Amino acid sequence: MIKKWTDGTLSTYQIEQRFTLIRIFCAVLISLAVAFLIICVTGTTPLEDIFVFLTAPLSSWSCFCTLLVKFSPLLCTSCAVCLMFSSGEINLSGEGAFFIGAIAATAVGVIPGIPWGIHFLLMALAGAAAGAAVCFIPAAMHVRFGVFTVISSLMLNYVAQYLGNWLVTVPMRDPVSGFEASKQLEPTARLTQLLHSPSANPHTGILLGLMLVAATFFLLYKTTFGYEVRTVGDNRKFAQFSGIHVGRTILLTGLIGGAMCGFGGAVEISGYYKRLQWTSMPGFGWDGVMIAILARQNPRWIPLAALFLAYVRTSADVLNLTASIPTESVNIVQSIVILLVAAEGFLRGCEKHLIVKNSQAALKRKEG
Amino acid sequence: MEYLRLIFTSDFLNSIIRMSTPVLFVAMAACISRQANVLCIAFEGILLFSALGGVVGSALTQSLWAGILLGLAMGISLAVGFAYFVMYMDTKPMLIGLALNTLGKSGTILILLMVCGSKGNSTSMPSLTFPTVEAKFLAGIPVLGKVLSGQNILTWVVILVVVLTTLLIYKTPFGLRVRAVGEDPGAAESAGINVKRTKFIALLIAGFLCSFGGMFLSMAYVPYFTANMSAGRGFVGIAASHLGMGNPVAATIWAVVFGSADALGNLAQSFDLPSQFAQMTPYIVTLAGLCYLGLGSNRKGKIKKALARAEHLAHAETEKEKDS
Repeated sequence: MIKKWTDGTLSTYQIEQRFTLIRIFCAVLISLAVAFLIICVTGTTPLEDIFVFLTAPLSSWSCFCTLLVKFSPLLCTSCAVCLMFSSGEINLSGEGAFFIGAIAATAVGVIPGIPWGIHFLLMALAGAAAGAAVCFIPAAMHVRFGVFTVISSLMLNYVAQYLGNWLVTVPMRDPVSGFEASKQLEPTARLTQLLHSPSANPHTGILLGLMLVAATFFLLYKTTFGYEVRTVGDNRKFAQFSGIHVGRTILLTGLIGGAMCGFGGAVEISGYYKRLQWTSMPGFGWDGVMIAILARQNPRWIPLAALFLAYVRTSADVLNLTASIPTESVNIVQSIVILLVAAEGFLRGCEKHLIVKNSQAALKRKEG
Repeated sequence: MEYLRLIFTSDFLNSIIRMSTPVLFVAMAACISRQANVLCIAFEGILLFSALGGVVGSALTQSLWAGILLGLAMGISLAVGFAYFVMYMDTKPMLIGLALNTLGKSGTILILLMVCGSKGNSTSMPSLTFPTVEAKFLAGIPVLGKVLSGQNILTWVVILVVVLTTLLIYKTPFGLRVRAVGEDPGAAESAGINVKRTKFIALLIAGFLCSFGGMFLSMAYVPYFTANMSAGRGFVGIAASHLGMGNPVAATIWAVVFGSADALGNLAQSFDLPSQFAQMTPYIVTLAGLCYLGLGSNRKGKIKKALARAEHLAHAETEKEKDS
């Protein structure tokens, strides 16, 4: 295989493309190796645990359904992060937007007397609006005041977390229930369940998520706006000189990204939960960041990357129950994936070597 | 009036100093990395790693020095990872910082679970703390004596650190090199400075300072490690250094402002305000501070624009006069 790479038939661009794939593949492999290491260190029966880790989501119907349920919210947040990162803004407030969006959707979801269908639409609208408001703040702070988006969005997440916590535990709390949770959602507010299993019921949210992925791909790669977003992300000065409203583009991506996250929160609540009982943020925003980086900010690869993460998370949940290996290990795996995929110098020596050899061969062929 | 009386007590001033200390350590670290023009957001992870390292090291050996050593080693190893990936792997600093913060958050929980069998805190381990200093010569002074006495030794160290950081940045050849590298890497390189190595060392120093902030959290502020105990202080420190434009003294003032917000938040929990709003205070103050900085630079921009326009007009008028 290496020989075919160096006989001068490939273009440099093709080799680079292939190396991008190899790099991602290596990152995933190394992170899995780290996961095995963690299992070996913390578990008592490493070999069995590794087998469980690799096969758990496919081992039973209910585990498979759990995988699907975990899969669907990841699609929404990763699309949002994809869009916001494409504009060159590391806006991490997706986490807060998802949380606040879910809360806003719940507030609508508990209102009785709205017909089915319209009820979900209203919930989605409320969630999207709330999420958009959250992600708009760091974007606006960047455009208006030149504040670093990373820092402001992280600070905002803390504010969103405490605000949401207060909303759930004080104004929206169900006085009847013995624990801190909102009132039960109306039956009209629930999404249709597609499959049934004892542990989790996959819902139409998956289809909505996949539609959102397609829409994001269309928006980013097939519209003028998407082109503007990517230009702003690649080279802000060039974008400005070519007459693109940089500020407006950043604000719009913030708004749309936030709306996607909030929509994701609404879908998650109305699809999977009977009532809102999160007292802290569920972490889907962070997962979205990792998926977007793994997918190289191209929505086309989001479903695959999200499936990988959902698979690992489901396995980790099973291991947490059977072998008392903490679910936090997944976050370690996640950080290593981000580390290696983002490292553009990773394997570059090898890549350059191959490119040089390949072009030498191409030159020889031309001359000979 | 009741509230005001609560605020203006020596206890409150005391707690301001206590809350500001970890933020100050991070702010100094962030100042150095800002002077080298590397936006390192991994301080959050470094805080957690060093906090856990200090606790584990001191608990296992029952020696404070060993605790400090392990804390520093863990904190600096993360800083080395950051520097290596940024300098030699061409990674975006934001993404690497993000990954290292995630690693810090989850890695510490995993280590905590392995070492003392709990995912929440390390209270089951007999870890040591830094001693407090009873400043006897200050005790006679009416208010100040009460405020300053009984502060942790690290609080005194941080004051020294502020002075030393200022000297390092502005008065030493190395500081000059760091600033040169931060200002214009190309020019610095042409003057014979090894850009990568200078940045690397600057980040190491930053990691070193930040590690002390982490150890303050788990070995002085409270005597044990809790999961995720840094609670965004790393980012607050970065915000302080940004507001101070990388100047350690100005950053100190902002760090104390944020520390006061933290202390005020704690105090507000004793009022009838919901605790969540009290906990929100430091973050909102930080956000407001960041906006305030932008407001200032915007005004400068406007003045510049106005000046440019005035010049342009004057120029146009002289042209007209010439024409006529």
